[in-house]
Parts: sequence; C-alpha cells; structure tokens
Amino acid sequence: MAFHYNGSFADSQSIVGISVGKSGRDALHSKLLINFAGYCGELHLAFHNKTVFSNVFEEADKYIWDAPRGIPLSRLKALAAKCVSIIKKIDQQNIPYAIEYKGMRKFNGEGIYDDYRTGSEFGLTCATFILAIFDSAGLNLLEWENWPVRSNDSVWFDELIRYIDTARARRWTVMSDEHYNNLKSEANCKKIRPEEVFSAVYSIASPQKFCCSEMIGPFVRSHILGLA
Amino acid sequence: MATVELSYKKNTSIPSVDRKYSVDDTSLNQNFHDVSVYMHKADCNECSIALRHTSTRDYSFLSYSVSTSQHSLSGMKDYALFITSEEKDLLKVTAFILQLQKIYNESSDNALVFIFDTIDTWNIKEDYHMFEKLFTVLLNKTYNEDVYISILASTLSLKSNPLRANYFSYVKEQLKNSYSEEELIIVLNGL
Repeated sequence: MAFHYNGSFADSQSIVGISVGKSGRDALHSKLLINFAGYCGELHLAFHNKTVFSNVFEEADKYIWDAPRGIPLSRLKALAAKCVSIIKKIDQQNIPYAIEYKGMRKFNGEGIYDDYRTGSEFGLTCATFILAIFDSAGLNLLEWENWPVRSNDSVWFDELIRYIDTARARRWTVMSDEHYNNLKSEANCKKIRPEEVFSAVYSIASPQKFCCSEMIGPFVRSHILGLA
Repeated sequence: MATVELSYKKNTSIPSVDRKYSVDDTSLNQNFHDVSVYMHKADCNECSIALRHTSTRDYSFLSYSVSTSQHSLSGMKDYALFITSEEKDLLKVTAFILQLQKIYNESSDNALVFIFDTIDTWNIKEDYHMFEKLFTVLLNKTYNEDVYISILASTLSLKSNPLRANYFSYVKEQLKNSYSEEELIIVLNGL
C-alpha cells in the first residue's frame, strides 16, 4: 500500500508521485509530487484559478502517496521536466475549476492550460489537473473516455455547488456568472475522482481501465478517511 | 561547444561592452538578460550571438566568423535586413540545439526542463516551419534517451507533421540499442 508522507519525499529515488488525502469531512484532494531538477514539492489545483506549488508537504498526516508503476524512467523524467516547466510559470496560471475532462487542452510552455484541440472544456478538478499534465507529456493515466456517469456523484456535486455559492457570496473566490453557469451545467457529467487518479499508479500498463479504478478507488478512499 | 573568445565595441544598444568576453563568461549575465549562440549552417563557419539587454530587453546580434575571426555587431532591425524569416527560424532552432547541449553538459535534468520551457513556447501555427527545421536538424544528432523522449513529448501537438514522424522513426532506431522490442513499445507509447 501507499507510503505515508513523512514531511519529504519518502523515497528519494522517485521523481514523480501522486498523493491523495482528506480535504474535508468526506472530500478527497489529489496532488502531484515532484522531485526533479532541484524542485521538490507538491503541485496541485487547489480550487478555481488557484494552482499551487509548495515545497512544504501540507497536512502530510492526511495524505498518502505513491510513485507510478510501469512507466519507463525516461517518460517519467519528461513528465517531471514538464511539471517543472509548469511550476516555473505558476504565477501566470489561470485554471478554472470545472468537472468534465475532455482532453481538449494542453499545458503550453508558459505553464498555461491552453486551447489545443477543437472544442473546449470548462476547466479542471484537482484530479483531472493531474490527468491533463500526464496527457501533456504524452501519458494517458486513465481510460477517461470510458468513464461512466455515476448517479452517486450528484450528492458530491450538490455539495460543491452549495460550497461555491457560499464562497462567491463571501468573496472567497472570484467566479464569473458565465463560468458558474457552465459549472452548473456539468451536473450529470462523468466525474473522475481523486482516489481513482491515485489508483492509476498501481496500473502496470497505462492507461488504467475503469474496472481497475472501481476496485482500488473505494479501498483507497476508506483507507484515507480512516487516517487519524 | 568550445568557448569562443569575442570582443566587440560600444554600441548604443549595448553599454559596457568595450571589453573581451567569452561565451561562457558569467559576467555576460550581469549586462544581458540572455545570451544565445547561433551557428548558421553545418557547412558555414559563421555563428551569431544574440544579446538581450537586461534593462531594455532589446536584441542585438554579434556575427562572428570562425575562419577569419572577424565580427560585426548589428541591431535587430539591421540584422533582419539580410536574413530571411526562414533563416531566422534556422538560427533559432540551431541556437536551441547549441543551448541544449550546453545545459545538458551541466545537468541532464535541467536540459529536459529547457526542452519544455523552449519548445512549448513556439507557436504551433506561426512557427510551423521552425518545427520542421528542428526535426531536420535533430536527425542524426545523438543524444541520450531522456533527451529524445522529452523532445518527442514536447512536440506532441505536431504528431501529424511528417518530419516529426521521420524523427520518431530515427529515435526508435536509436533506442533499439537500449530496449527490447516489447520495452520500446511501452517507452514510445503515446509519443
């Protein structure tokens, strides 16, 4: 099973890792861990327009992490280099928070989540943020095209909208009406969960299929929610 | 690349240059935002050095003939008069290759970051010809596998470019020395 944080990269030979942990009562959050070219820390989409790189492992006791399996070192190095390129321009990032992942955009050299293919998606979650970075380095972490829409995601979605309503009212976040409406239109879209992105590290042959994530994901979730 | 001793005289766009510098002289960084070395062509003995001034961020170019040791300094406008846009692309690509080699000699990890920092900033539509030149120049240049992979990963948006396909095939041949056929499929998957 995954390593627990110990305040630094537990395995000094790992250059990329994925972590997942508690961010609320029942909510999980995922992050990408980097240890490459002098950059060691965690990169994640904290919320709407809030991309963060921290060389301090925040709330380490609530997170577990592991390094991807089955990905050749050369590919991991390219991924890590891409991450560093993104981190170096982190102040210029402006990544909206939205749910459905369509693989429509890439991170360009300015670290910006940018239009790439025809069509568009509204933004990323903490989980699809990781998918998008892997995708930008030519690595498909999950078979996200085949993810199903699940009815129990609506509970999470309703809570999210309630939180955003509060956050907007109290000015914790600045979100345009247009983006808010786009986000609300994603009520019945497929959602890739943080624990499912994390579970892909155990996939020997990427991309991981839904059936595998469906099996490992709940185990990861219950393990994390059981952490002190 | 070997250090090339250069000297050049005062120019309105580059203050404090009435002294000798070498390409690798770190004192250059005190006056200039960045320094790029451009080789014109493989069979040409001239190189150009682009100097970007720290305060103004203006470019000036120093042309240098390796065979005659002669040099000339000109501003960007003058320089643009005697090179075509295609030649500028080639200069930019060649500068990229030279810088890559220099950084790679210092740190292979930093070289990979440099690849993504640089190539991803090239505009796919406007700089399309530059990508073609990149792949042409890269063919038959031997790097380690990490560099090959990072260059391919940083040019994913050009998958349909036939010259990239040539480069991909070239890299595949090179990597056959390091991997079995099965491993190679995993390494190149998605690129």
